[in-house]
Amino acid sequence: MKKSFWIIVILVVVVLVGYGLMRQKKNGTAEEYTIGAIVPLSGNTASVGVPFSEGMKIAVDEINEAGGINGKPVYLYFQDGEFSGTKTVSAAEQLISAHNPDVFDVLFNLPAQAASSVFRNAEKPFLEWDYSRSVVDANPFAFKTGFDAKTGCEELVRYAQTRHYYKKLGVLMSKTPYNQSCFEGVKNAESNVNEYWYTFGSEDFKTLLGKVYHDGVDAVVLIPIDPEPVRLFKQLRDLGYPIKVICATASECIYPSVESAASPKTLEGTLSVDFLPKDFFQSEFSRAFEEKFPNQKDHPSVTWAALGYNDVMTIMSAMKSCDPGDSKCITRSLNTVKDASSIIGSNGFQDRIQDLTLRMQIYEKGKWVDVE
Amino acid sequence: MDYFIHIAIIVSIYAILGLSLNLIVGYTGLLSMTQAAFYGIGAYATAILMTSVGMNFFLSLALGALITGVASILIGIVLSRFRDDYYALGSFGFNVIVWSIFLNWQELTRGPLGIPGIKRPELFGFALDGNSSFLILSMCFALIAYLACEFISASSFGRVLKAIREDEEAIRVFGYKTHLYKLAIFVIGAVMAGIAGALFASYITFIDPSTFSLNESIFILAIIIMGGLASNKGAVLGALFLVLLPEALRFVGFPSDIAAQMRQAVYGLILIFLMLYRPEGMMGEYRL
Repeated sequence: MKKSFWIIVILVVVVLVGYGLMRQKKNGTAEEYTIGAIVPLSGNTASVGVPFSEGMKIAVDEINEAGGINGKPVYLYFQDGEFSGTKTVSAAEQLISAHNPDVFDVLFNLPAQAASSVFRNAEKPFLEWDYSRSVVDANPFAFKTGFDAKTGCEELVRYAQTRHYYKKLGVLMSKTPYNQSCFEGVKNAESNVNEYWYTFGSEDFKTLLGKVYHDGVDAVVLIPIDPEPVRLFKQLRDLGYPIKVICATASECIYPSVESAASPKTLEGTLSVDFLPKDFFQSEFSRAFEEKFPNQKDHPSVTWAALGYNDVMTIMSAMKSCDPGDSKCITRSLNTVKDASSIIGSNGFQDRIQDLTLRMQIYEKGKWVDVE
Repeated sequence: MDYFIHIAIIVSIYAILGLSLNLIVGYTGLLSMTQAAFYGIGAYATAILMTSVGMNFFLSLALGALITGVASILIGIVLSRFRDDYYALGSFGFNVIVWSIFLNWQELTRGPLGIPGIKRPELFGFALDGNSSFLILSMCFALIAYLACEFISASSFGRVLKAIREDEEAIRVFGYKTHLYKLAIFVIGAVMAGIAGALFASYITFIDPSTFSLNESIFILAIIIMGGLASNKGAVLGALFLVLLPEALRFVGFPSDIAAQMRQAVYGLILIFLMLYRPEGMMGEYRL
């Protein structure tokens, strides 16, 4: 094919981008509230991003069916961040150019870090689901939702110490920001900790578990993401080592797929913490979600969906006292919102960090039991 | 408008990366998979100098390029012992090693937490905070890179590189020390990639190891294959095409439940289609 063909192909692509941008409905007007969501809908972390986005959609549908906010509808615009810094920045720029959302929601630390300066320059508030605090500390428009890994892991280890849960402690963690934050919390509670790090996405835990056992470590701390707990507990069962697991959060650590893969003996005594209400898995939201997505019920998808749902409900509460398009008002309002309709036991933000009620839990006889 | 400017900046950065790898793969025939490693070394060096030492961007960029050059000499000397497929595998290994260093040397790189808060450049007290001013900067660097590559490819040095690509034994018989030429072009390519890394770090203001993995090296290789090997214009066009295509697919109206997956699938299909009908790329001189 001639070279001129390729020049034409590139020009077509350029025109497509421009035409697409011009065709997008420009929102952020007085007629509707808009939320821009950047979540990983493809790749390794799509198992989290997809249910999170489903939860957000459920919330927006509920709000609009009930008449919207102040009588005006809410629009939700998604972009796939692909868990990539560059792609997330592109997604953020595209959403701002095309829709100018009133507020954003970003999943995970890495994308939030990358897009943070975009939101700051545009003066857009954004909720970032993140186990660490690094974005919130650096950006006044950031609001952190989700479990706080540093304080949560510290509390877990301190509780384990009171129960004489271990003789020698280790951390068995992926090289990720949330585990790094958890490790800092563990070190605050226990200075003598063996470290066993792996690359996120690794499938082999047996090598590290072997090292853990031979080093005399009898308990390990970690924050796993599906399907890591399935692999970990299965391989621990295969090896038969008497290693106890301290992990966060409970619903992401042991769920139906993990129970199928591991033996009750392997799981018995696992210590964890969670912020989900006691009867969450019997709640109307859980039942409705599992009915709608029956192929996701063996995974912690309903938890992620609840987090997405909760974010939208928090945003809605903040939007109630603001006009559409008034991002500054929404930023101020997010700081003080306390009456959000929460299904995960959250109560607004304290210094822009989500206020969650934590419960210590132990896995006994096939289920999680509160210990405090 | 900001969105277009953002895309143009990303295209400029990837154009520099494509041009840098094209010198090594396209002109010299060395199938190197280390370009993301040098991209990362430049980015991290600049980020660390700017955030920990408080150095200005241009000085950090220069030092970052120097550090990348030194690293590439060490890596290039080892790689020069390999040929053909082994060279590719060796370069693959180096990329993984460098990425592992970014991930694990936490005292220097902060590991998985990455380095946030990297400032935008300042020039004579004028902050290039806005995307428009950064675009001018990145396009200047891209233009300089393009002109440099054109100069190299048209020079006698460039002719020796092409001769190495075509038949290294033959050119060696004429007394050319081909390992020195290969090392030289490897270092030049690496320094250019390091400069692209410095631009990236300052533009995004945050870097972490995941950006500089083997996947990124593969993407840069795809740019020059798509654009056409041994063509500087092709490297730029390849960057333009591969950056724009996924952005264009954002606007295609797939059902929201499967939009992300469909975009990935369509992207892959388009690449396969283009390679079937134009395997030498848009403006290439030869195939791999």
